[in-house]
This record gives sequence, C-alpha cells and structure tokens, in this order.
Amino acid sequence: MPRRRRAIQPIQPTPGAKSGRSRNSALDLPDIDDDEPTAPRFSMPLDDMYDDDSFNEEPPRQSILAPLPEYDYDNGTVQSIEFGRRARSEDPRLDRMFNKRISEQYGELNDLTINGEDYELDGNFINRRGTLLPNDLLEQVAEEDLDNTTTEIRALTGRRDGRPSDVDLGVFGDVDDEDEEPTFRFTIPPRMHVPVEDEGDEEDEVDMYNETQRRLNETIIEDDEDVENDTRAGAELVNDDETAPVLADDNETGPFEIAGWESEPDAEDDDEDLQAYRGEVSAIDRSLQTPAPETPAKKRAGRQRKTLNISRFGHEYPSFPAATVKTLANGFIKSQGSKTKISKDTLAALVQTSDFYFEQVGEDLAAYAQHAGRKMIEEGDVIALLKRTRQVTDSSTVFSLAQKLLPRELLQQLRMEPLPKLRRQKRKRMETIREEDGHE
Amino acid sequence: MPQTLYPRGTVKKIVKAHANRPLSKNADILIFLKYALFMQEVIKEAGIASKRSGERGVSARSVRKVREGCLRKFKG
Repeated sequence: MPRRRRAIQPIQPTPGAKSGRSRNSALDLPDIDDDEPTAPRFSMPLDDMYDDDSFNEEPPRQSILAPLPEYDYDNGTVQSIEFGRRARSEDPRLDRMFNKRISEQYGELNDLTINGEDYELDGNFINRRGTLLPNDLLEQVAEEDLDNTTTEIRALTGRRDGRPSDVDLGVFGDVDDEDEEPTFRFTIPPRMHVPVEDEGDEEDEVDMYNETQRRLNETIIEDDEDVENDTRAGAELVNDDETAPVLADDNETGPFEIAGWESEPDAEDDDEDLQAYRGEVSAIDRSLQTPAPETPAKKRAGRQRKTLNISRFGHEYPSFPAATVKTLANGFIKSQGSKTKISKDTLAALVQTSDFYFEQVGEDLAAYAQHAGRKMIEEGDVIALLKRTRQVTDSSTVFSLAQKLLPRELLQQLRMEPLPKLRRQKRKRMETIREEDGHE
Repeated sequence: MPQTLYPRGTVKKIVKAHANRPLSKNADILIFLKYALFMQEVIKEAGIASKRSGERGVSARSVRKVREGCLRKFKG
C-alpha cells in the first residue's frame, strides 16, 4: 500500500486531489446552489423585461442598459420614494419567481395587470410611472402591449412621435438628455417644419432626409430606451389618443416621403428648370392673354390720381396708357418675329419712354405751329414733323404709313374726315409741302 | 384690333399740355401715327441692343439704353 501509495501519490494524487476538490467544492456545489437561488432571479427578470418591451431588438437595449444605472443615480434624489416601491415590487416578484417557473411567471405578468405593471416597473423608470401616473397604471397594462407595438412600428418607420412623450417627462428627460437626448429634442421642432420644408426646398429635403435617417437610428435606440425606461408609457398614455392617429398618418406619409426624397432631388432639379421656363412663358402668356385692361385700369387709376404729371406750362396730363403701349409693342415684337413678350419692367420703361416722346412731340409741334403763326396745332404740323424726321418721303406717304400702322377705323377717319375739307386742307398741305420743297 | 387703338382723348390731352396749344381735329391721329413709328423704332433698336448684350427678347434695360437715341432721331 505504501509503495502503491508512494507510486500512486506522485502520479495521481496531486492532480486527483486538486481535481476532486475543485469538482466537489467549487464546481458542483456552488453551481447548484447559485443556479437555484440567484441565477433565475437575474436572468429571468431581465430577459422577461426585454422580451416584453421589444421582441426583436435585444442588443440595443443591452447596450443601453449599462448607462441606465447612471440615470438611476442621477434621479435617485428625485425618485427616492420610488426606489422604495421598487423594492416592494421586486420582493413579491422574487417570491413568485422562486415559487413559480419561468414560463408561469411570464404568463402571470400578462394575467396580473397590476403585478405586470410592477414587473415592468422594475426598471428604474417603471417606478416613475407608478408615481407619475398612479391612475394610469391600471390602464397601461392593456395599453403597454399597444405601446410596444407602436414603438416598434415607430422604430421601423422612423417615427419621432416618441419625443413628445419624452418632453412631457421633463425632469427625467432633462437628466437623461445630456448625452443622448439633445438630438431627440432637436428632432422635435424640425419635425414640425418637415412638412413645410418638404414642399418647399429640395435642398432642405435632402438635409431632412439625412436627418430622418439619423432620427431613424436614434429613434430605434430611443424607443428601446423608452420602452425600457417606460417613461414613454406614462407620457404616451396621455398622448396615445393623439399620437396614435398621427402615427398612422405619419407612418403612411413617412415611407413615401423618404422614398420621394431619394428619388426627387435629381429629378426635381430638372423639373425646376423646366418649370422655371414654363413658368416664365406661362406668366408672360398670362400677362398677354389676360385682358390688358386690368393692368392699365389699375395703372390709370393710380396714375391719374397720384401722378398727374404737370407740364412746364402748368397743365396736368396723364401718362400714356400702358395698355396701348403694350398692344403696340407686342404687335411690333411679333412683327419682328420674336415670340417673347413684354415684361413689366420693359413695359414700364416703354411707358416712360412714350411719355418722354409725347413731351418732345408736343414741344416740337408747338414750335411748328408757332412758326406758322397759328395757335392750333394742325395736321400739317405733324406731317411736317414726319417729313423732317424722314418718315414721310416721296416713296412713303402719310397714308401708306397709316395703312401699315393704324387700324382701319383710324385710317378711315384719316381719310374720311379730310374729304369734306379736302380742298382746304389739301391746299394747306400742298402749300406747306411746296414751301418746304421750295426751301429745300 | 376691335377697340380703338388708342385713347384719342388722352393723346390730345397729353400733347395739349405739353404744347400749351389746342389740336386740330385729326392731328392726334397723325401724332399717334408718328408715335407708332417711334415705338417701332424703339422696339427694333431695343431688340438689337438686347440681342447684342445676350438677353432674351426686349428687356427694360435695353429699352432705356436705346430710347435716348430714338428720341433724338424723332426730334423735330
């Protein structure tokens, strides 16, 4: 035996004794002991809570779980009372947990609404619910399931509706927001702007799109946090009635908007150019097509009352009507072959020009009449003026010009009225022409 | 051009105010004829000027640029 022992000892005993000790004491006993009391407690409640909150999104929650204790410490002063409640809730849980199996416990949470709330309240945030909305807790149990679904939908659709709920929990949000929530808070007001900007600026839309993607990521994380924190639940209970329909609407619009943003920016740039051209043409067409009297009527009224010009002789006179200028100018532009039409600025410039012109013509004609020793300005004076400016020459007579430029009514008046006076006026004309011819 | 091409009374008023003299019966038609010629000239010149400066159609700037010369041209 001793020999055997000696022989055995060097070989087996040292490892055997160590292994035996470790097996018996460390591995078997402690494992069994730990598994029974402690292991179910930690693993079960945590897993249950996660499962309850969100089915698909475990990893983000876990990552978020680490920071949670910080929040707890921060909020500890405010929620000191709530911590006490936690302990109470936890104790019954633990008792129930130990007594009952995991599967049973899970079912119980759903069955026992109040207890279920407590379980959900196990998270630091859950306690708040109880404190903040004691009456709502009863209502929450049924709604919590909805909340979970809604939060998931929000995360999928990039909903930011969760924010308002966060805002509602002012104290809690403030402490938590320092690291992560500032983004959330910023998101809230931009959301309000989103619809307006979407319609208006495309550049903004691109930015908004990026922001929305950001928010999607953020919202997913936040929603997870919110679910865990259950801060939402309390706030959402209040807001659910309002947010739920909004969520549905936004969910519908959200994906479309995003899809539109991706495709639009390029396409819309082209569209903008096209629209710009079209818009210009259309605007011009409108100005031309719309009965001119509208603008001239306004301008006449304004000018006749406000800007009655006063000539150097002290006579008031209206500026030349813009409608006439426009029709004339458009006619000439058309005759020149260009299809563009007169803009407002051009029309204003033309009206001013025509005012200058009439001033000049009036002075010239007055000088002519005075030179002829007459008080009245007669047609001959105008013809003389035309002749002097080489607009009436041997090849082009007044009538030929009138036939080109004037409508038939005026042309007829020019022709018809002289007829009875033909003799006199023709004499005068002939005289004047002869005189000028003689001078020349 | 269904309606009368231009308000005769207005033209008469304007010229009367500037000349401080009355107008004979149909003088205003001839004055308007001359004015039409003037406008034709202005628009032709303005179209040329605007084309030269690379603008489309007739712009207000080209009209202002051109009208001085046109007024000189039509000075009696």
